[in-house]
Amino acid sequence: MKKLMLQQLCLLGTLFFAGCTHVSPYEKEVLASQNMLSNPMPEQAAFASHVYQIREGTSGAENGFQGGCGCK
Amino acid sequence: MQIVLRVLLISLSFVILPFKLMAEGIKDQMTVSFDYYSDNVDVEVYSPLVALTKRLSEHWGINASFRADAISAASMRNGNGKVKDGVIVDAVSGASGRYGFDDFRVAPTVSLMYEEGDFSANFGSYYSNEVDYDALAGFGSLTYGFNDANTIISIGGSYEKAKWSPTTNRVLYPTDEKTQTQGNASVMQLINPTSYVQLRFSYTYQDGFLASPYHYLVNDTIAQFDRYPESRKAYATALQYVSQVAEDVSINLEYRYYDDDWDMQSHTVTGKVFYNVMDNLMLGASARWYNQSKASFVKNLNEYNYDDAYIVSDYRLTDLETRGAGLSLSYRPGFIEDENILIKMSYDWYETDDNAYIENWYGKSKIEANMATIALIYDF
Repeated sequence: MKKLMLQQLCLLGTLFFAGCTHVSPYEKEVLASQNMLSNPMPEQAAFASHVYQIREGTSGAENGFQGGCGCK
Repeated sequence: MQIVLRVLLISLSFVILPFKLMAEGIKDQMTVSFDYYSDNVDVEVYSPLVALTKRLSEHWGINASFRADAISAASMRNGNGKVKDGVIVDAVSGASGRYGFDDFRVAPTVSLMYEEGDFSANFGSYYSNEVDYDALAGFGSLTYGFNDANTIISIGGSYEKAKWSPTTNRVLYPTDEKTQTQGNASVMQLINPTSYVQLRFSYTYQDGFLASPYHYLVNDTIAQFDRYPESRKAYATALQYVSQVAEDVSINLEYRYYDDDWDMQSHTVTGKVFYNVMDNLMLGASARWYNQSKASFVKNLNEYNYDDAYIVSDYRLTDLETRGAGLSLSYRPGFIEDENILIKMSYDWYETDDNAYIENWYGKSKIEANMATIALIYDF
């Protein structure tokens, strides 16, 4: 129940921004720069994420698909 | 401007897509990277990757990659030389299960991409082979942006089937197979011209032989291999916030909450800062904190007995806290004609807290690791 409430709260918060803002295409210059990507260093992130999956007991909601290996 | 929008759309569509494509979009590109991992429990991994992305037509593209993991100096400490009834139990590698100095994993991935306007799709397959484990997976995702790409939603899923072949010739009961089904969804929302949030959900269901076939527990009462439940359902939610906080400086903050039916919960907080020093040079720094609670069936090592349905010697199911920090660099050499080569380098440090299960298995109170990545990306 707590988990469901957290997800719903986050979703509502995100949709709130959808309802009250609009960024026009000509205003997106900053958003398109490399340091504004959600994952500016994807090669590092992919490897680090793989290590975390091996060294820790939980994973999920990552920035991409990671195939399994026997070490997980 | 349409190109900028398309780059933004693709770059912000996360779910299931291979990492490189999420950041770069569909364009002709070749990536060669090399990852290195080393820790204080004598596991060392060299992991080269070659990836090629080719636009096939106006809407279609293909990506193929090949990764290899070479694992050396596998620790003979693992298992900590436990003796039961006068017999020394086999020592094995913590990385993959094979003892000795050379273990090798190959992992090819192929995916097809489609994009048209604000819509994109990606479908692919992944295969992983190592000496004691084979896995085959299919994955796919759909992404759609609306309201001038102020909002981007994505859904995806994957299915993976794996089979164990333990090097110790142990027969696994009741099955030597493991499957994993995962569903993902994400919503990205622009807040203003310099910031956005993204919300991600995932649901994961695993069944089959979920323990490591090598981990075993030896105490005053028993000598038994690890036994886990044969299924696991997990939910994870992540909220990410990206914002430009000063000219050429951005912050990237993320919180993730995890919960599963083994009664494990975890919290992950990640913070990153990126600075565009020059047009062709970006520096980054990051920090990460992770905390998990133990599975409901985990007991103290010396409390297990023959009546227990489940036995755990693997520290990854116990109360655990980890932390890490990293530095990164991205450089596009201006002296190269067309400036079509990007060089990326990173270093990460990582450690766990002191843990009795780590001490029991590895003979060290905690794990300390170093990771490094160097990548060369060529647009052609």
